[in-house]
Amino acid sequence: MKLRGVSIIGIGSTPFGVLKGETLQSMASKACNEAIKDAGIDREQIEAFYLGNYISGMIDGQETIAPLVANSLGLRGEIPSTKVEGACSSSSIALRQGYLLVAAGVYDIVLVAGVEKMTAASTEKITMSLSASLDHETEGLSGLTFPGFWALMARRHMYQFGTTIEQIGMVSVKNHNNSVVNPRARFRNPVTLEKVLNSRLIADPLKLYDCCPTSDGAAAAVICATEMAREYNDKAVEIVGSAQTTGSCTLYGMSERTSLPATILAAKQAYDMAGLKPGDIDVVELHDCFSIAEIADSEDLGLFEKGTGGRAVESGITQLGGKLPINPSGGLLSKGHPVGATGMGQVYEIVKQLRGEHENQVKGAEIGLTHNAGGTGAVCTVHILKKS
Amino acid sequence: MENGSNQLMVIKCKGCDRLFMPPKYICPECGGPEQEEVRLSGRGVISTYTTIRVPPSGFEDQVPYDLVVVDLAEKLSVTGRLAAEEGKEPEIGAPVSFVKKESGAYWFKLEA
Repeated sequence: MKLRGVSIIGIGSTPFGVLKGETLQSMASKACNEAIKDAGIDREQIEAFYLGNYISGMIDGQETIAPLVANSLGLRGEIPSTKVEGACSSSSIALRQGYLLVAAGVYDIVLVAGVEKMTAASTEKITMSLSASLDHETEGLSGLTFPGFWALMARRHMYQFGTTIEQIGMVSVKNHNNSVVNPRARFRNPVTLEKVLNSRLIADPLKLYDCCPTSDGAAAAVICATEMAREYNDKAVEIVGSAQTTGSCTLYGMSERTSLPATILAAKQAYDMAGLKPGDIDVVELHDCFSIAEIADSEDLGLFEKGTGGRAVESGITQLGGKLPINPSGGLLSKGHPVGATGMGQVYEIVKQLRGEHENQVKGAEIGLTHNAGGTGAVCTVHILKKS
Repeated sequence: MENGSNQLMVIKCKGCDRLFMPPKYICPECGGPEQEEVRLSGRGVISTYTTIRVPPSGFEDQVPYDLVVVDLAEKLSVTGRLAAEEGKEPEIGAPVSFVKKESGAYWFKLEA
């Protein structure tokens, strides 16, 4: 089946952080409206709406949020409004769904978005929601948490490859530094390695600053067939690679506990589709839910040899100004992780990079990659975007 | 299997003999719908471990506690709790043995 090119013609985002007084509907509406205006289209032209969200039901008691946001925006009744859930990968899956339908010629213009409201919820609700994507018939009964999951991966990575706790901590230092100039970031203060290493233990050996914060936020994009993009504006960014894969829902079910197989598969599919190799990527926003995750992800994405991700961070290659900047936005660690919005938040940051408009602009960035993994790597999406 | 037993019971597919941690509804290897319970030795080694200090719901009165991923002798793996023992610390590669299953959690202890 011949698929046609798809481009992103408009983007919008709220800041990510503690957004007092903002609701699921207010944040999603603002981000979507900004994307619609940025694209230069009328809302009547939107032919489908995909909204990524992880757990509004458990946190807010609010389900059925896609039509709620569609109503808020005044989208036409003729079009479908669909919520997409895939844990932390929810909104990049929403993008994938919209992408496929435009590529297949079913629709010309689609609105995709992601939203999450977390910071106003009780600790009990948040704790429950954060554990909800563990397997509650098996591993979830052992008392595991997500920091625990990645701590188990970190210990194994340190044992197998000699990755050090300092190298792991350097990811957090880098990403906190990066977000200082990012107005969309939850945290805007640099941290020293000492501060990271001395912060309180959450799940040994991971500490407070190794863990991403809960956040509120929404991000959105308008996508359309590439052949039509110029009718609207000249800031289009082409989606040249798009992949979504499935991984293990438990750590014990994985044979390699230093890697997410779904990332490896999704990266390969995306690179093959785009006709590109890891070395062609100029800038990356990947899933650093925990500092160790950035190290493992960077290897799984083929950016560094397996086991060398820690040394790569230490060498400075992935810093701003380095050969391959990773998470110039501050990443999940410092920009924040409003779970259902994160995927589209990454896309927003990469589009800004490819338009040459980012606060931490990577000079000459022409090809960017977003990587978004859900839960235990149970779901993974990779998108490769190219400057038109 | 939910009786706090100190026997490590797992699932075996009647179609292809593959072993799985329960529950399994159909065999993901051969698609076979029939399974039986088999007893394992309970012996294994630690693949990785951590100490949980910020608990999930329901575990508040237990922190801090150790979790392990155990590679069992029969080539199956399981995530479980490690019974705390004075002066004994977990290590990757250390031998452990199954103690009991309680409230869905598999408990192990370090072997000498």
